[in-house]
Amino acid sequence: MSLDEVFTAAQEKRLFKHFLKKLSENIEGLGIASSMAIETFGWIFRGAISISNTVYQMVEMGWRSLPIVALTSFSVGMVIALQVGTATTNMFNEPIFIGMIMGFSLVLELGPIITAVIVAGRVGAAITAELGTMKVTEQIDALYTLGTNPVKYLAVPRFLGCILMFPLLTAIANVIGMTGGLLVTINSWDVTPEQFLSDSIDLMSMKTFFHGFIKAFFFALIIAVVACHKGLNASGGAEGVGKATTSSVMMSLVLIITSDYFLTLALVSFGIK
Amino acid sequence: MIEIKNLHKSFGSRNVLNGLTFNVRDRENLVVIGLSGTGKSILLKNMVGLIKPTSGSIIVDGVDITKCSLAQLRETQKKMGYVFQEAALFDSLTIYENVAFGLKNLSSMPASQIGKRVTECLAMVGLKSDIEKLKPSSLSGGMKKRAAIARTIAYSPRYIFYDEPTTGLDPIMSDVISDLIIHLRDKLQITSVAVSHDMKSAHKMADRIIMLYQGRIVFDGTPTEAESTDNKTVRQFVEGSAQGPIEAERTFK
Repeated sequence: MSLDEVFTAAQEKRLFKHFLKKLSENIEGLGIASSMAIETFGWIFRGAISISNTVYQMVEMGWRSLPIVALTSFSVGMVIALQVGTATTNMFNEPIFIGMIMGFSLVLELGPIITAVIVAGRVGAAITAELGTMKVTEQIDALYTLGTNPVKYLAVPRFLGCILMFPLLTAIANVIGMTGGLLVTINSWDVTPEQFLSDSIDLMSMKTFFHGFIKAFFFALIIAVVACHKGLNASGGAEGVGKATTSSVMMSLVLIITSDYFLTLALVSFGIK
Repeated sequence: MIEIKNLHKSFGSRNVLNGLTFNVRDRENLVVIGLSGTGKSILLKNMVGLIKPTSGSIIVDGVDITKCSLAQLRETQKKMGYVFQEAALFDSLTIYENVAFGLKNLSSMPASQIGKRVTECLAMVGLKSDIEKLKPSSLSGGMKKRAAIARTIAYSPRYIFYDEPTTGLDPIMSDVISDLIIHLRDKLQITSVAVSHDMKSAHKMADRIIMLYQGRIVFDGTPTEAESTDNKTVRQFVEGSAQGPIEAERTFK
């Protein structure tokens, strides 16, 4: 069967209409998500913050994500050290640049990205599922009838929890990743811990750390906006909540990975590198 | 008093409410009956300001909530309470925190008196104070509904809107909820609007019944008048018969 037969003119037209519909839905979704983010920051700047709710969210998002962030970054640190050490030994007959390569790759890229992937999967999914369930069981409507703005009551503490804990988790991921790399390096090759650490830090400046933390802030923002938006706009019962949760994680990951390049480009062009 | 004037609500090309006009008198229990999907809950959500109508007016104590400022709407909403079909208690909060929620946000009651008021409201709906520390998931359907009513009456609204107050409950619990709604009207002078399919409860709790069919009011009268009306559409619904002018979907042979 030829391609022409498969895609008749009518099918092409239908496909194009479907594409336009999806595009307009996504643009509309982006508009709604942006307006929710602006409203959330409006509440934050007006000081409408529930300390107890925010602390609860910080514990849920930060403390409870710590074990998986630690395990993943430790493992990634060990793998990078092993790969770099083996490659440089093959090329130069000695394991060089391990600390430097690990330091830059973790602080600039892998620390924020690993944390983002874990937080999007663990925290983003939990936020969307919780808010989505509240939406389909009319608890969000109940908040309105009880004189409470859902964005102020639900989104603000989750935004703050995410934005405050994400950079901290990234810093911990960096330290634990470096520790993993250090353990592999000193046990596999004749490299002292002092040598490894001085290699790691010598070429870095405060800007290098800023680079990673600015990315961490933006990734946290993406996860919080997408998760709250998808949750507060879920519909269609349990199935709708499931779809919203999947869509939240997927959209967060896609936005994080695609925005990473543009963020890096912007930061490098501003000299934050 | 609540006045509804020429209320229309559409979702895309689908007209759900087609020009409803009626009043809700002070201290009456008005029950809105009608088929599933006929727009009863949509009407209720319009009346409480959760949904904006396509056109028409909803005047609550002289304030048109479809055209007033946000501040006026918030002020008017303090007079209104809403009991949701599935209770909509906040899962993450205890029953105490649920009942106290509206008190903290909608009343100026000092924090020291909130505990006493919560216990008082739970007692008013026949719940003991030992459930205060439980989460909603630990309660039965009837208890959840009563806790939701306690949450609503806690801040002393003038109007309470009930969305299917007896749906999903056993006949005895349905009767208890109907008695409770009557008791709240008599004791607290609350005006109620309830939507229901349950004709037994509707007959018991209603001072007046209106029936919606195809987005229009086809009946407005007392429960006794609903029982004896010549209107075939109303009769069919009241009697719960598959035969009549209301076309029931039949996919079986």
